[in-house]
Amino acid sequence: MTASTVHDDVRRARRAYLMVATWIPVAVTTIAVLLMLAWLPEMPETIAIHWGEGGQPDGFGPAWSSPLLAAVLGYGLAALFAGPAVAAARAGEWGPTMRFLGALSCGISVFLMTLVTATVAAQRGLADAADAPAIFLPFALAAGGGLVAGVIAWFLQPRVAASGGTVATPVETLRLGPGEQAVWLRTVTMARPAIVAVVGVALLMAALAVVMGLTGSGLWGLFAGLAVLFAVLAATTCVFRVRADAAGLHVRSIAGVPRFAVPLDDVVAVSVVTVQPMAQFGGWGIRAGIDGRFGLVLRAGDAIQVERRSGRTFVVTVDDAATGAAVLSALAARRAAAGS
Amino acid sequence: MLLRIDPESDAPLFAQIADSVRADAAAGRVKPGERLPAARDIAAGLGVNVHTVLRAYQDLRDEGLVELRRGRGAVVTAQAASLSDLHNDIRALVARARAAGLSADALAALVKETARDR
Repeated sequence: MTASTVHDDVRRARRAYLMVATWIPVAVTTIAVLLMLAWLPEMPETIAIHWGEGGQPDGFGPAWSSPLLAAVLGYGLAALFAGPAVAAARAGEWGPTMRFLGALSCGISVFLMTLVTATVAAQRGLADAADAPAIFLPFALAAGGGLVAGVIAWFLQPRVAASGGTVATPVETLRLGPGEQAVWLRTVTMARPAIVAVVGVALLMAALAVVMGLTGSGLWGLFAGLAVLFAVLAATTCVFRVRADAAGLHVRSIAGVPRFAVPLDDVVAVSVVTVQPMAQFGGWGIRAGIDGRFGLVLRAGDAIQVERRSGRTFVVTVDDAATGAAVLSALAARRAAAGS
Repeated sequence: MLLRIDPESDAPLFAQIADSVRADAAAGRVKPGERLPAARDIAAGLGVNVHTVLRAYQDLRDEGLVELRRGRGAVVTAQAASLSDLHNDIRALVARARAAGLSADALAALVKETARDR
């Protein structure tokens, strides 16, 4: 496939993405806002805008706040979701992750707009907001609509996978004697800003949980749970031990889990690549690449890339990737030669 | 860190492991203050007994290249920096010896004799 056809594919995928992730949500938002504005004369001045325990209304506000919220959310999200597409396409990256993001944007937009519009529609002709019906039917409608929209948005986008400008350099293999054993070990730590972000969020969630608990809000349990989740994430995904030996490539968190392994027999090709976490994987940590690769992406820079027998690719960012790749490649070649 | 052993060779395994670590230190791939991998991991990777690796670590400690600390494991000392200073000299010497037709073993024996003479 020539470079220009890949380029065209990425452009085609980006156009489809923008259609489902931005333009359709803009249209849906506009319809929702117009409908709600048209209904304003039939609404009571104050309507229910929040539902709580048992699905009954427990928060009220002016009728015009709903179309306003819908406009801000709808247009805001549509603009937000456009960003990754532009960035990815410019880097020449595309894949199932972007396709999913596009479907997600469409689904979320339809869900939110349906929810707000349905709750407003249910209050047309009411004299008193306290008579507003429960949230269940609008929620079910919105959830169903969002799901269907998301699925359709997935299939409206083409299946394109492109790895941008990353060149995978094949490794210079180590010369191994017939009986010789070799092992390569390294420790890799997540980039400092990413660690700060994860730990920061954990602390923020914990602080919010305390505040919620003190003010008697029922949501403190949710935030406590989120704090625990992020603390676990921080503990398990910040430092990994990487090892290449006769059993294959093993990557293990210092917390014990998670672990990833590529058995030596599974290794088809080993190379060294340069990883840009944001552009290629959408962030740091245990990631699905935009182009379908699976990676442990802890920092930008050199990484060992292994192509597996199943066709899937595993990437792990680690210092001195060239030596690690050379060891793995030599061991795999020797195993393959011995087997044949 | 890269460790290589040849079970066929005459040299004992623990010595080969220590040689590997020393070579990495000399090449600057392992720096002062760095922790060496856990003996358990090296043993599993090379398919040797963990005590073999521990013996190598103890020899390196006796040499002054690593410090064994409770809870921290084997930490590389500043001697690694001196070793890597020597690295370029060693490479030049090896190149000259090879050009002169001297085998690696013969060169090593010569260096050992000269060092012992002091």
